Amino acid sequence: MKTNRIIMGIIILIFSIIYFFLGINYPQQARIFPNVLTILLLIFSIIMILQGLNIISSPKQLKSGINKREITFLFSIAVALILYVILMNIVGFIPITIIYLISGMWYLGYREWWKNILISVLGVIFIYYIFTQIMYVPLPSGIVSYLNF
Amino acid sequence: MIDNLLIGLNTVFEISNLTFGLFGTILGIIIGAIPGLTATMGVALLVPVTFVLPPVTGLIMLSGIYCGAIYGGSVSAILLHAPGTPASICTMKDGYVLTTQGRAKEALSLAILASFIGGIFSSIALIFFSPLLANFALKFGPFEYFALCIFGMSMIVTISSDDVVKGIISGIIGLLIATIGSDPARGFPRYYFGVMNIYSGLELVPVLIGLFALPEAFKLIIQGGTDKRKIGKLKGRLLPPANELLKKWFLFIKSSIIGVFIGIIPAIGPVVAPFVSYNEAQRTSKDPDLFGKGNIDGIIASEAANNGVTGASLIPLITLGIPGSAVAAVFLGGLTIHGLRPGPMLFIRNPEVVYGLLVGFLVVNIFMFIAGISGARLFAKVSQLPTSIIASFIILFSMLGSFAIRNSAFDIWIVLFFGVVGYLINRLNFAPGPIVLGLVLGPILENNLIQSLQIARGSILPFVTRPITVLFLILSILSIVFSFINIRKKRQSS
Repeated sequence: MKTNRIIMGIIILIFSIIYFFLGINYPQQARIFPNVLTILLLIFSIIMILQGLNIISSPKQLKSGINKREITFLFSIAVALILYVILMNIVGFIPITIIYLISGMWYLGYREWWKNILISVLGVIFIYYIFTQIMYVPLPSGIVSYLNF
Repeated sequence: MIDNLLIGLNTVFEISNLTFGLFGTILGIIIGAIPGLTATMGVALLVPVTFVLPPVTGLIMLSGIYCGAIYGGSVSAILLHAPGTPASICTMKDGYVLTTQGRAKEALSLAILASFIGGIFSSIALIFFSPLLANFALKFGPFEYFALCIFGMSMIVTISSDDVVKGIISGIIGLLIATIGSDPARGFPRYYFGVMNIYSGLELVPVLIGLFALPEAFKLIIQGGTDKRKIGKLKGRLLPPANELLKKWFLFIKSSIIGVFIGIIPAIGPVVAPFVSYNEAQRTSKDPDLFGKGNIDGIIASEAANNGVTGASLIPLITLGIPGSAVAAVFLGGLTIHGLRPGPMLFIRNPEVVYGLLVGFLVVNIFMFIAGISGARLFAKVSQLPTSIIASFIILFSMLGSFAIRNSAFDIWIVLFFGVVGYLINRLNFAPGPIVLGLVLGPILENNLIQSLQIARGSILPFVTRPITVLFLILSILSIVFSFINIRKKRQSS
């Protein structure tokens, strides 16, 4: 028994069934390709489950599986990045990105404060210049724009 | 042919193209030299920047990054005992031993020489085979393209020999992601769940950045980079004596050609070629026991082969519109943001773009040679930047780059989503390669399938009567059968 493989197989099986029924009412030409694919996916998810149950031989398990530490790390990075994107629209690109870089580098273990601040500030000015002046990408200016008025 | 090459030369020797080519090459070497960052990541991260450049300039810069990164991996393999990219794993075997023997200089100059020769062979293959293949491909109709895509997808079995079922599932999921948005026949919106931003499909580049750039940054953060290693001392002679080096000419050429051939085959890229070439060099060597103990032949075989892949792996992309590797898929993203569709028609409609790229590829290899000769130790030093800085900036660039393509905040969510997914699938031993192959081939596959069925009025007979179509389908079956035989062999021997 390979529990990991069975669980993954079941998740993919459920996914393929849902995806199949989502597309069931589409016009024929729009439906044929995804329907064929979902049926294939269903077949292979069953093969995967059977491999997990050792009914079909499966490759030697490589070291897989994700540990708790990774999940917490990944989760905290994701939350931080989501906050960053939301705050960018409120606070503006320059201040929030400076904060992002300083705290990000500090969190990841860069403890030389002066260098950290210098790299962050210069980096942000450089990026801001490239994106707004050369690539013409409007970056949100947030609060800073209110100060101008 | 000559006329077109002149157009290409003319285009390349504009100052902006040369500047961005050089910039891309140096950036590529640095990215390649940083352990944990790959060529695909470098190209993906810089695609949004090419949006503001003329198409040719952007493509030349991306070529520079690609070639530079594949070479750059050898610098840290030799000096730091950490392969900068997976393509340099074989280089490390002999390269680092040479460094410990005080022969680092020799190892580095042989690495750049071999990379250069491999790159030149690859560029020449790109320049000569592309127009021929494109000309041939003009005859292709929907049936042929459908079969060609099937052949491309069949390669998934080959590249995921560790776990075929997971590879196939990844490929199908990639194809399914491609079905999001309007269908190719009538534009009927599918699977968009009321989200207007994906009504016409997902934007390709943010997905690619998400799958290839962010997971590498996350990996650096979570697993920690390679700890600060001592950079090997630059000692020893610069090159072996000329007569000794000249005796190796056949090895240089053989390894380059192995790289070129492996590069042309879809889906097998710069990671596999050095292994094949290294084994071949060892097999035919007079004293195979010396390999792995500081034999310069090992470096030559590995580096000529991985750079031999570079140009050749773009041939299926620009001539047929079928990306043969992950990097080529990212190049495809670089073309599509300019509204260019790769394929035989590109040679007729935009010769300056195609031939500019072909000649530019040769030129960036020359840049790579000059940069590699003059600055290998410097690149090794730069690659020692703290992980915290590298990771923070990669994440920032991934998000901003995705945003920049159509100034859409939604694409930042896409890149984050696929970044997390990309990290998880890597850890669960599903591969991002097959997903991207499915993602990019999906629309082409579906479009040509629907068209074929319309032309044939629902009959599948033409799929087995048109010679080129049949050829590709037979090739697909053969490649799957051979892969399974290989897998069986591997299992029995272990």
